[in-house]
Amino acid sequence: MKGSYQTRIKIQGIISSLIKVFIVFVFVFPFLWMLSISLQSETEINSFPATLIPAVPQFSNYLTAWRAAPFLKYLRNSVVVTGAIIVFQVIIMVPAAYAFAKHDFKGKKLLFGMVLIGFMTPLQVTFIPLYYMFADWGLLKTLWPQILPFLADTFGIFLLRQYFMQIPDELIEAARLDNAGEMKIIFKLMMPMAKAALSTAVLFSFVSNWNSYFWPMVISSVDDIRPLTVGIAALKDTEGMTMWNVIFAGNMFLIGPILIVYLFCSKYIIKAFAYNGVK
Amino acid sequence: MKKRSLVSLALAMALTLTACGGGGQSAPAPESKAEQTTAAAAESKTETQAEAKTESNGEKVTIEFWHAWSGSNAERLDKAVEIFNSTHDNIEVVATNQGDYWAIYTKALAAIGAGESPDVCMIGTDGVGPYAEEGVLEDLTQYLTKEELDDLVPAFTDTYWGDNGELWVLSWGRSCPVLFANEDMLAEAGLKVPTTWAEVDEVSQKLISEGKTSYGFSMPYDSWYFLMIVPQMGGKLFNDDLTALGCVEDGTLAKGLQLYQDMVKNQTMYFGPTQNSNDSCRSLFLDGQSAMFLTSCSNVKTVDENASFKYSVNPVPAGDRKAVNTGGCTFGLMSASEHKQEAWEFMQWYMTAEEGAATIASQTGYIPWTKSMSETQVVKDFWANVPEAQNSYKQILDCGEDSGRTKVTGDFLTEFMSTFEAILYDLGDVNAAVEELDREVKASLE
Repeated sequence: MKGSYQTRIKIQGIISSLIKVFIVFVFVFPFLWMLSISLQSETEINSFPATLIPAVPQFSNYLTAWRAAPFLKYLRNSVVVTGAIIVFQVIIMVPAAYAFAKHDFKGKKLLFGMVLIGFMTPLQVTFIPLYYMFADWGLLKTLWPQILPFLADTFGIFLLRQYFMQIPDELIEAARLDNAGEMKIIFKLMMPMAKAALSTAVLFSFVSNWNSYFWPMVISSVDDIRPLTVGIAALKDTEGMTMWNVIFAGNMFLIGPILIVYLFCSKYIIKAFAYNGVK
Repeated sequence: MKKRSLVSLALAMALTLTACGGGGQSAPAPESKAEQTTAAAAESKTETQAEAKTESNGEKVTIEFWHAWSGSNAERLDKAVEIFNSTHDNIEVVATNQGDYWAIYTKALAAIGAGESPDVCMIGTDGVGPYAEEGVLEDLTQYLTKEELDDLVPAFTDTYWGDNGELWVLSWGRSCPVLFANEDMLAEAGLKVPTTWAEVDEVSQKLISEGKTSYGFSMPYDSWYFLMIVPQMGGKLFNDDLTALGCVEDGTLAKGLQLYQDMVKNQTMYFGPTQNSNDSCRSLFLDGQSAMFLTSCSNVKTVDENASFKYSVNPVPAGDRKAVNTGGCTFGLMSASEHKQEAWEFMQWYMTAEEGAATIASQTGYIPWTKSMSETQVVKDFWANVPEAQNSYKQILDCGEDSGRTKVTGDFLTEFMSTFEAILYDLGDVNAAVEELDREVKASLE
């Protein structure tokens, strides 16, 4: 009896592990494939059958990609834009989420509804008036149009609000009894307790804005303000032969920072979702 | 007080989101603003500015040229621009890659409406129609001399005339489909390069049955080949009233698509995937898995550099008649440009100078698009080195034609390709697919 139970548990464990390995494989394989192509020669990538491990790694593809356009400038722009967006978003979304979670006021539901509308409205609907607005303000050849429309992160507000709602009101009342003001409650009480959710919101925002293509493509007509995504897309020659090895080498520049950020934030993300799950 | 400040902060944030997220009453509906003819919106803003600019004599004028080229093609383009700038003290052309042709279209319309129009735009051959409909292109007949007009190769301009005699664009890099053939494989089987679709089928089946190849020919996923089969079957894309597809009314489209489908079914044709199609089809040809390759003549340099066998560049197979459509890209002068004269100077230089379009053609395999261009030394030298490249030019002169290209907008192309997929991937009923296409196009044209 005990033996068959243990056997069953072992089998379930093996099956569970196999399923997890399969899921990991499905998600990781495209990146491995991209890395492989980035190190292959032109002849190798066009050969059939395809090869996963390059015969002779072509690290020169990375040099070719880097030299194809002013990538240092594009990288700088991506860092500045994404960094500025995250800073502004944290400043705005934390108090906003706190207000929605812990305060009752007139129009709260309406305002939160507007937040959700913003969440659901794609940029493709609003980009024309946005473009005209920035043209009128004389900001077209600056980085501001890539920053200003994204000062508030609706997903972050939503996520933090849900998280803040789980924090007991008694803690806040205790803090108020100790003469803590609202800002102190937010920064000394709410934020430390919401580190996991905040990290998640920041990471999602980082990935979303780092990978943003459509709006930067529309708004950047000069090289000086182009981010990495637009620069890498231009590697794809519209009329000539597509150099996938060079394009994928360029893509590795794009995803590298994301992987590094994720390495630092992964435990917080897991903590955030695990905590929510227990509730 | 503190509660009010939090409420205010939330309110300000929500208002910011609404303004930027598109829900607001303050932001104009994007479609209605875009539909106010962008040319009219830009004209009112820039008219007086244009007058002022032309009065600023002697100052160097900057021309913004938006293009879609990158990689080695962009280097060639930049070189041409550099030469122009060095020989024109009063003009500086700034050429910037703006993504692909549809990205340029999106950005150009937004920029025109905002009064920030580029001066010259590169436009894909299938993209001229939308620009013309928006009214944002300058009529080039105001600038071209009679000699220059007569010098243009008709097949490359025939479809870009407006209803009132306007010419909307000039060519930038032009191409046409050609049939690359593996001469070694054909010679081994005692076969000649086919000249008609019936011969293609016959030659392909013989090579496949002898185990010499997997497919007769490979053809990339491209609307080009959809558009090509119509004149080959003797049809016209649209009817004269522009109320429906003429090629549906006269049965030529169904006939052409049935021909394609039959060739897919018996493996005479390998129809490429939706993505990376040309590269896949070219690989198949270079690896010997297809005996022929129907594709753009701009592949000639790549094939020449990579083929391990003797190859030839031939006219596309004929259907009921010989016909081949054109491709590549064009460029147009934006009507909202503040420096039209200088922009035209650049366009004219590109057309007539040997360092312009002629050099680009010799470096890429694109086809000369004026008769004078074909007689320049640089083109002659290229044809002497790569004799196969001249066949494209001869084919265009012989049977080049484009049917109703300017009326073809992005919506139509999507519908055409859906029909193509239904017939060549799903092997669905051709007549049913054509009927459905007809319904959709009629609805769009209403």
